[in-house]
Amino acid sequence: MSNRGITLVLGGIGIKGVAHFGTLRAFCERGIPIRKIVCTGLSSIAAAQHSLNMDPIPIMKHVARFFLEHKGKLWALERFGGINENNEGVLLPGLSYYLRARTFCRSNMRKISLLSWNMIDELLKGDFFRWKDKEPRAPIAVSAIDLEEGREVLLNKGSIIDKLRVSLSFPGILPPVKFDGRLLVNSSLYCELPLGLLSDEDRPIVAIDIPNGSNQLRLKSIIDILAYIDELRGHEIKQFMLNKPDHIFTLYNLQDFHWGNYILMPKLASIAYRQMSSQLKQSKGFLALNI
Amino acid sequence: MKIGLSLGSGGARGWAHLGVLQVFEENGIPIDLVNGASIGAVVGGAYALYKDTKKMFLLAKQAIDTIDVNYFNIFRHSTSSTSFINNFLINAICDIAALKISLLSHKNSIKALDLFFGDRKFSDTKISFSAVTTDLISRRLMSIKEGRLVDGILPAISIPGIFPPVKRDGRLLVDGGVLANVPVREIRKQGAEFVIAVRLIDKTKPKFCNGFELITYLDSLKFGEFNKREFDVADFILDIDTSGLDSGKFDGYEKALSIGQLQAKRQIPRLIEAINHVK
Repeated sequence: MSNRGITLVLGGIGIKGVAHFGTLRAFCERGIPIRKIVCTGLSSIAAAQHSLNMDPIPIMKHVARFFLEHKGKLWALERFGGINENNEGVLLPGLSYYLRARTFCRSNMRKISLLSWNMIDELLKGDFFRWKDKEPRAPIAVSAIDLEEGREVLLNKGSIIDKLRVSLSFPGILPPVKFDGRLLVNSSLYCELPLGLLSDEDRPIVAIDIPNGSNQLRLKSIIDILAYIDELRGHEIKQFMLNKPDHIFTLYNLQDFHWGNYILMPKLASIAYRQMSSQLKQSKGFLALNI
Repeated sequence: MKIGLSLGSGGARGWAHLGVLQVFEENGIPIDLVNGASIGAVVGGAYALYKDTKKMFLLAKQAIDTIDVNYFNIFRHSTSSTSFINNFLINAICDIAALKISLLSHKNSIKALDLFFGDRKFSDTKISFSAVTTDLISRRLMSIKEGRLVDGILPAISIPGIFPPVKRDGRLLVDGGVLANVPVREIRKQGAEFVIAVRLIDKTKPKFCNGFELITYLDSLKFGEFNKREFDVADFILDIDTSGLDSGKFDGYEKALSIGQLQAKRQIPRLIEAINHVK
């Protein structure tokens, strides 16, 4: 179809984006040329690592350390990881679940986000800052939502640090970012697979889908039902877009990797690597693209 | 040709639907099928049953005068504040939001629906009618068109977070507006050949005072995408700009109604032309 390489679209919400350290390694090992990487959220760090040809291990360690350092502030987010799934009716986890939901609600009702940019800038300006002048192997396009225009945009220009900031501005967790005269947040809450703005010029388009996995009905509170509706609508939006890619790879059984399980990030990447390697070898649909 | 009318959600702004129906009545627009989600199900159901907008207006007035059906958006415009009362209220709302599945019960909604529909059934309606709900278990839209109207419409108005989902026959039902604000595709499935969709527009600029508002805004963008898909298969879209009306204040029904009436009047010649063109 094309010898210019693929447009690779990275899906996955929350910390599942870290899986793409593994998927990109698999693509690299198979020698599949990548023309552009479209991403949002944590997958942008994996995309940047791949694009700048950096060693993934220390980067993953930095990311995990960052989350572990700020675990206290992100404590309330862990309720979205299903902390109480296996402990129905047990008093202590029940109380913990309630307190987390309440903290999440109180924080979000009072301020724009749980974390501030000062915390992230420390990370970005420290070890990642040396990335800023490097020439990328494959350009990265970050999918974001322009809050003033109320639509999805694809950020092609700007430094890698600018793109990472926009990409990490997960609504409710980090404040929106002002960039290029626009107020932007990452688009993963709108659609976890950022395919919306791709066109025929981007073909062949290959998407990596990581199903959210929080499909089980666990509706104990208003926060739960609103989060469920949000996930349901996000899933529907994703369905509208699934006819766009020329091929979709799906990474399964990654639902155990959620907020709070930061220590498991390297494991998440290695499971994704194994799954991706095996799918790249076996997928007739992908091989038929003749890349 | 079967003409279908699809009425959408919008809370109290949905009283504008009643104004639209008055204009339809005055102009003799023939409606063969009606469906609706949320407030659209209430107004649509009442129209299908009585086919008399004057009676509907009196019932609405009676319901609002005697039953408190107002609700408020718990996440709107709240910020950190030094005011003790404001802080106390935010904390109280968060405590409830973390503990209960909904802010309100169905008690007053059932009273209001009883006043509108009593024991009447779907089979008693003069026009074929279906109430559109979202089943959280199958994650699909579902049209209810059998049984008591009150029982069918109640799940269609169960706005998640405000009212509890309705458990029925192994399903968990909420407002159809979750997946289709104006359920045009559903009325097509019921056999409508020409669909009029009434779109309630709210051009109010969003504010991003807190994280919830940001998340809710992104959710509204998804909502917009669903609407686009529904409106793509409508034959005529009747736009009613309800900006400035509070969707939780049902006692503002007279203003919503007159907005619906005024704006529908302007668009009625175009609608008649479209219907005649297809006939």
